[in-house]
Amino acid sequence: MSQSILTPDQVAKLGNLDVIARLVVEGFLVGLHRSPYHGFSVEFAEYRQYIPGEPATNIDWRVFGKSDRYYTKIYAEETNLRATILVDASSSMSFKSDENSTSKIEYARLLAASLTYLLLKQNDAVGLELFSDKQLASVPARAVRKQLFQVLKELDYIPEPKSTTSIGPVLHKVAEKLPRRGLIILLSDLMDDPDEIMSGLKHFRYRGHEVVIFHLLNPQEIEFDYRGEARFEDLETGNAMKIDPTHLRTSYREKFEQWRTRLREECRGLKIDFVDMTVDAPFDRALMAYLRKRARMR
Amino acid sequence: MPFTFLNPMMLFAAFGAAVPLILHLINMRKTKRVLFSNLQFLEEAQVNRSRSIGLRRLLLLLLRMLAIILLALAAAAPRLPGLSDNTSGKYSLLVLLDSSASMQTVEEGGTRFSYACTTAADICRTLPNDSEIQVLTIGTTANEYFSGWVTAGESSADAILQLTPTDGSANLPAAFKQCRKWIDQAENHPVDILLVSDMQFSLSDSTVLKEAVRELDIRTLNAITIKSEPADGAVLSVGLPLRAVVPDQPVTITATVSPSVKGQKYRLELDGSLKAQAVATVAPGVAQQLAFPITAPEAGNYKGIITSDSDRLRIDDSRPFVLDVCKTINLLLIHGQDYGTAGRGGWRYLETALGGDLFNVTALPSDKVAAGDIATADLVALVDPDPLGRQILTELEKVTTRGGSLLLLLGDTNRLSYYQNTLLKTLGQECELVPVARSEQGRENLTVNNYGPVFTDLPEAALEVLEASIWRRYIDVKNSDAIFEMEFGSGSPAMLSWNRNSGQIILLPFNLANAENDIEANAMFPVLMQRIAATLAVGNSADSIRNAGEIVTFPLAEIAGSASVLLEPIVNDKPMISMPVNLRWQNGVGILDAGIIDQAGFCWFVAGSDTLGVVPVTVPSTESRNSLLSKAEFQKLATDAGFERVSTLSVSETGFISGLSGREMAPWILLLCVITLLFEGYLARRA
Repeated sequence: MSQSILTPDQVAKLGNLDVIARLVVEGFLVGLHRSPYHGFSVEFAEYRQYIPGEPATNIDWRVFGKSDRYYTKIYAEETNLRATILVDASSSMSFKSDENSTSKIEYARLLAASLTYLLLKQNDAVGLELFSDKQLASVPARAVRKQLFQVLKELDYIPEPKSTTSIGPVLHKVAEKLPRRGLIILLSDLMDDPDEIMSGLKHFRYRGHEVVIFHLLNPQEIEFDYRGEARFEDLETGNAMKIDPTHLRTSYREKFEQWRTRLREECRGLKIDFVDMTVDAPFDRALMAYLRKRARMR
Repeated sequence: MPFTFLNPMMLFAAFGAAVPLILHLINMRKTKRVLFSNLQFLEEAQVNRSRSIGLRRLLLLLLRMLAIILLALAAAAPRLPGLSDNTSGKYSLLVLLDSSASMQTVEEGGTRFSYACTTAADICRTLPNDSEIQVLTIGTTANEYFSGWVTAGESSADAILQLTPTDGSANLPAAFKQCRKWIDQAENHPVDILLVSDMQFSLSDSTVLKEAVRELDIRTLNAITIKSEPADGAVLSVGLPLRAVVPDQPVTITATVSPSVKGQKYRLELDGSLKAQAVATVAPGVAQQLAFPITAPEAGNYKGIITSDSDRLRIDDSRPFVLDVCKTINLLLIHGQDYGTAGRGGWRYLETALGGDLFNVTALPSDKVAAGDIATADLVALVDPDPLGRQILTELEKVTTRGGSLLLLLGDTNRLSYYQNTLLKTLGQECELVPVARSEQGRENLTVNNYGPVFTDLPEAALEVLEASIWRRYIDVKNSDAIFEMEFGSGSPAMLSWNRNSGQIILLPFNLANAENDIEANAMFPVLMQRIAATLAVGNSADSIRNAGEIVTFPLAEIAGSASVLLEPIVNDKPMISMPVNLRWQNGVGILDAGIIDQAGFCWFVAGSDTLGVVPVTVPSTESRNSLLSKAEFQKLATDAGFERVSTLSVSETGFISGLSGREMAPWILLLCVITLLFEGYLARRA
């Protein structure tokens, strides 16, 4: 895929969010070798020659009657999907490492922009909720063209994160606010109390929403590959501890993996798509995950 | 044990150990800051690990410091002090090789002596170039083996293997005395002294060794011990009849034995034929006196031996002796003139008392005695003699030189001055003869003071009768150093004995005046006189058994031709050795001197085809039963004596040569350093 050539780091340097989103999504779609314009809708788009193996229900028998050839009807997609992208803008999201200079929040911003672009391209309604320990910005979901600019504007002005995450209450609030069932895309490192997170997510499910979580992490958070003694400061609480990471690496990885596994398992239980993302991963993965989810929702 | 360092300055490099400490402290101050998303997981991990991490880091620091210290230590080239005080690398090694009888004890694979020689030879071979060696064998005397210091090496080692042991005891003091000479002549100083021995010494305290420390100015004594188990079985001593024996007389010869097994049989052989047997009933290693009752054979000198089956040390399982059976004792009685003085003529009582089969008494007045009469007599008794000529006095002196004995009965108060100043002085007794004042003269009881040979075996009843006897005292002997064998009730001596040259003299300071019938009526008088005469007739022959390692002599009765000694070893498979003898003169008597005989056996003094006499030579009993000094005991003795360093190696232990120069510790310290670093690396990797 051509997108893979551009790393998130390089993409982030491009600056204009609109351009970035376009570049990412178009590149991604070209790479798919399949037109997203041809969905399965009521609005006819064109005929295509029948390929053996396709369901015979799609064959236009009238055309067969006239031409004695098998053709399938291709419809332009008509959507009624409402997607809301939830972006965690807490302090922990500003973490970046020496190896990966893109912070999680930056990555989330780009990913949110790309998803918005893609969704709108699919004629889906897109909304944005930006939060930390409280809601910071909210763009209600709409499927209009200028929605892109609304969303990108909010993403452009994400304030410097200085707060702790409090995902649970925010999720409850958003769940209450969203009027009808739709798709919730959560971009977060989920650095909060897992019980509260799950409580919020349950609320979404209860309200009939489909949920995709892009769990954003810096590879260093997973690997914890630091060398030499250092003073570690918590981005959210400001607490500090002096440790030799080499001594704690194994134990840290164990605890961290337990936490991720728990989140993953509980999400699976709620039938929530849980996508592990690291800030060095190409955006394709996220976009593809979204498309898969979208296809299942059809 | 203190180290010595070849490069002590390198020890300053140990301060380098401060480097990791400083780095550690700097690192503690300069910690980088990392902003992290969430400390929750770190906090959870830290709970279990923080304590062990702290300890591990401290351990790492210590290991690094230790490694640097060890490196500095190794660079300083430490060495453990060696057995030698000599640091030149060229040694003068004085080997004191125990060649005493106990070294002939058979151990596994050879005798102790062969082990000792092999050890000394091995050491000789492996001494560094330009080192020299001298060997002193320690028998009863210490003898140098090489005429001077020789270069250590193959040839001197081979020569050491040719050494032979002696049957004598080990005279350690003599060996240390000899050391002085060889230390002075040595090329490399300080001289190293190595004692190779089974440690069977009669060292009750450290006096001998103290003397050595003082005299030799040596601080280090090295010893190699051969074995530690003594061989117990032995005939320790032989008890011969104390008084003259005549043919057919029942006599008992005793032997003190220490059996190697319970119920061990011992045989008494005379001239090779078995005469009596006895069985030891005590436990192995315990001494027991066995009696061998025999009937004295025909008159003559008999080569006797008490023997048993051999154990590990066979040389002490047979003990030689010579039994002298005399047909009759020719007693020459020299008396003064009978001229009426009290006591004169009393010699007849003695003549009567000695009548019988055993004695052949020839009584001659003083002025009729010829030198020849004295020379041919077995025993000479002088009873109140008149002044004797110089020739007779010389002849009497010769009697003692030849090992003969004299009996003196001096009681004539008119002759006291002569007896005191001439006769007794000639016979080696400086004393005062004081006449007892008439008022103090009285009849007194006797008390036996010294149960010597005269009184041994005397029945208790006879002794009581003797002590109840009444004697009249006329003379008091004062300031005498002789043994008071018997005393009057007043404490004055009634019988004195002393040794003169090789002979023995008994003095009875009373006359034989039969005042108040006290002699004639005394039943014990003849018995006492016979016993005294018979004891004196044997003289010191019981003591004639010589220990191996001593000088063996034989007095010459008459001038003989070219004499020599034939040594018949006690151990049958050893060859008979013929040795020349020296003739020397002592008090006009010719003495055949065979020198030091260091083998047990019979020394036959022969002149042409004539046998002049035989002297038995035995293994000193100290070689048989003395417990061996353990390494620790010897070490304690030597340390008490003042040796600063005493090393005791077993013969099986190698490394004497490598131990001489001390041991380089650097390789070991480097090894330790490497191990430390490996451990440090392992811990660091784990961390």
